[in-house]
Amino acid sequence: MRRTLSAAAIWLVLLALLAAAALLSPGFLDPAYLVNIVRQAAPVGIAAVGVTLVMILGGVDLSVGAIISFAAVLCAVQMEGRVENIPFALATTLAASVAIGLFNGIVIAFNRVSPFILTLGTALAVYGLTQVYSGGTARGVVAPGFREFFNFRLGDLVPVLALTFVALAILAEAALRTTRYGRSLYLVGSNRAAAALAGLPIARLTIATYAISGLLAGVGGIALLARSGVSSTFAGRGFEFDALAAVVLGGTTFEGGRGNVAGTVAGVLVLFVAFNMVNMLGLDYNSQLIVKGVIIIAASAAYTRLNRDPG
Amino acid sequence: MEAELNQPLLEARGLGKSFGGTVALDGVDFAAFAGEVHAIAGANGAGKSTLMNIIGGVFPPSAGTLHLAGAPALFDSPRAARAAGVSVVYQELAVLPLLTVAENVHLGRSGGFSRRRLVAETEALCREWGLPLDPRAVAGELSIAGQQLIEIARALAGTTRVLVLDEPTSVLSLGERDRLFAIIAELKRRGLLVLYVTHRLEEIFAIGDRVTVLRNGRKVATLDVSATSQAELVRLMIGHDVRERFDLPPVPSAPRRIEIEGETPRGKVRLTLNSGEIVGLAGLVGSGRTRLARAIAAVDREWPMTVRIDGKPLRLRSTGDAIRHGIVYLTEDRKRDGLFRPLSIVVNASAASLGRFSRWGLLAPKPEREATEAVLRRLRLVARSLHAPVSELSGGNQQKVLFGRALLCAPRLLVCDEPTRGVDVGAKDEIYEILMDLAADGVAILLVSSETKELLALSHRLLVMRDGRIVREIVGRTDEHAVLMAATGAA
Repeated sequence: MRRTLSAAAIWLVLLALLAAAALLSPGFLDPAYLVNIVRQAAPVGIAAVGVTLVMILGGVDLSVGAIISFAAVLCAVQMEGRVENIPFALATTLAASVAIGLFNGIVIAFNRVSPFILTLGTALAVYGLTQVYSGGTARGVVAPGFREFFNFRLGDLVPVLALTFVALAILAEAALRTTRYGRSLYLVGSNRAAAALAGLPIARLTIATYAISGLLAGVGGIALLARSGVSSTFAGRGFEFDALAAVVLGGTTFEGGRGNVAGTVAGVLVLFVAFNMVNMLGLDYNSQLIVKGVIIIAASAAYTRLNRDPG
Repeated sequence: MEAELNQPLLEARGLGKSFGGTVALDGVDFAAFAGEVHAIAGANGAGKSTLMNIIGGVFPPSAGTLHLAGAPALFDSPRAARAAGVSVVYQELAVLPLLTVAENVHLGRSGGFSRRRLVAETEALCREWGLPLDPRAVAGELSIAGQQLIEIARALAGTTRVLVLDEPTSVLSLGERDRLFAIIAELKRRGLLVLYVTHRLEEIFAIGDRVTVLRNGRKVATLDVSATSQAELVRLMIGHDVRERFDLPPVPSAPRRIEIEGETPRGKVRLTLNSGEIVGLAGLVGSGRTRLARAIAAVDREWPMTVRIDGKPLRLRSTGDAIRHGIVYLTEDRKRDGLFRPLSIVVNASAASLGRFSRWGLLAPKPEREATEAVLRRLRLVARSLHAPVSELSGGNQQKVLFGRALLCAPRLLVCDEPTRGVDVGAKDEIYEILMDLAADGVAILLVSSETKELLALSHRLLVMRDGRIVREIVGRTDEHAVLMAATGAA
């Protein structure tokens, strides 16, 4: 009963927010506006999918914001405004993102370092690397066709970017529910020592999962570049916290072993609907931060109440 | 109201309760008197909770009647039971953490009391009964023992004549337990009837006057505690004597040989097991029993071991390797490295054999569920659903899930570390049956236990460890004394 309640809670919050938004402005519920929110949420949302997997495993990944920035800059620079560079740019960007994730995973798998500290360190280093690589200014030019592809609206409504986010989320949720890999994440996350006794390959799972998180953050960076079209060196700054907030809002806990991607998607949407409402009210960026903070605190307080293990 | 001297305060006549098709309680008669501590004993599933819930008004009986001081008592709610003077303190405490002790104690009484009056009344109550509680403290900040006292105080604030305590010591430390026993003695002295529900026999002997034993929903006996023994109670609870020696299945004539050789800081260790053989590993705490057991299954690698099956050496670099070769370790500490508490029974049981239930990385839920169900049925697991979280189960049933996990790995050598720790007597007996069943199927079993009686009853052969070495092998009949002598180095 409690379990179902806490799983449904974030969707109820989302519905309540949408209802409130509709009261503020009836145009909010226009399908075109709604899919636009999904498009807007795609970079953070895609990264949050990866962070969800890491947190179910019992870890955390604070480097996704830095990887998003790095990936956006790297991809733009590699493209140099030429269509024929697109495949190479995408491939190197994703490979570099996976490499950063692999680094996180390998260090965490074979050392007793806390994932929190390690990925925080990785984040700083990658931000620095991005600065050095770009010379501190927005470099690189997006190739023609790149943005057009990602922002193309299928059926004149759904942008490819939004679709990418939703597709990746569905894929990850399916992997959690139906694959041996997904099952292993829950097992390791809920009791690492017992998972070791059951013969699960914990090191391999850890490395693979941080690599996937790096990969998805890279995709998030490409999505950000496609959405904004310019590569600022700090474009993804703070996204790690948005992603983390969305994951926790969606019911995945820091203790690991619990949660799912569907909840994370709802969490991401709650955050972005709230930002849009704040925008509609004409409040400035700083007020947005306050609203974001309040939502996160209220939701996690509600969850600790709901998720208390009676045993 | 002058009660007749021999009139029971609480009496059950032919009490029965069935849920759907299962009979939880069947024709139970018993009588308990004012001024006694009356223990209700029984293994898990004996009907203790059902009886308690009927007495406390949680649900009505499907047959029979309950009488309070001679008058028929049919409580349709816990509130009605409390109004009649029957209060129950459950294992799961119902304290509101944000309210003060005083507010909690007077919870549910119709309002109109000032805060000061609540505090004063609570203070008087605690003084009267000797309860160490501060009425102004916030309930959530008290220890579990303190919260339990709040519930007892709540019961005493009314006109309670019957206080039912449900496994009250399961959450208490030894000191807290003694304090609770002192309070119970005081309640008894003042003429309350205390019904004490437990499966811990030593507590019955510490504070009980009489004891009613339930088994499989029926009353087996009501005895004077002073006229019975732990052995007799155990016999009544499980329905037969604790066997001193089981009829072990014979070891097959052409057994598979499992040879283990290894290095410990104190020298070489070498042991051999045959398929179908139960080998007991005895030794004092710190003798290295558990370390040896874990080393054999490649859980820890500080003591490197070589395992040969029929002369063929195995390469065991990880627990996963060991499991693939059929060498499975069953942990002594379910909570630490056995259970995945938030996950379901099925998921817990299949955790070590996911390879069997997946193809190209995709899980096959149907074979997984069917194989798990079959194994757990064989182990006679009691659970409302295999998809319920494993944390809901009793200790004995949790242990069965871990046995199920091991069986799904098709073990050739099962290393069991304290398999009956923290389970009640009924489940203990079932676990012995499981071990013998496995041996009869040809599994070699290395049984580690600190209960020498258990080892003597269940092993074909005994090995005794001291200081990280195997110091003695005992074949044939022996006794606890001989084992202890070897374990301490006295012989």
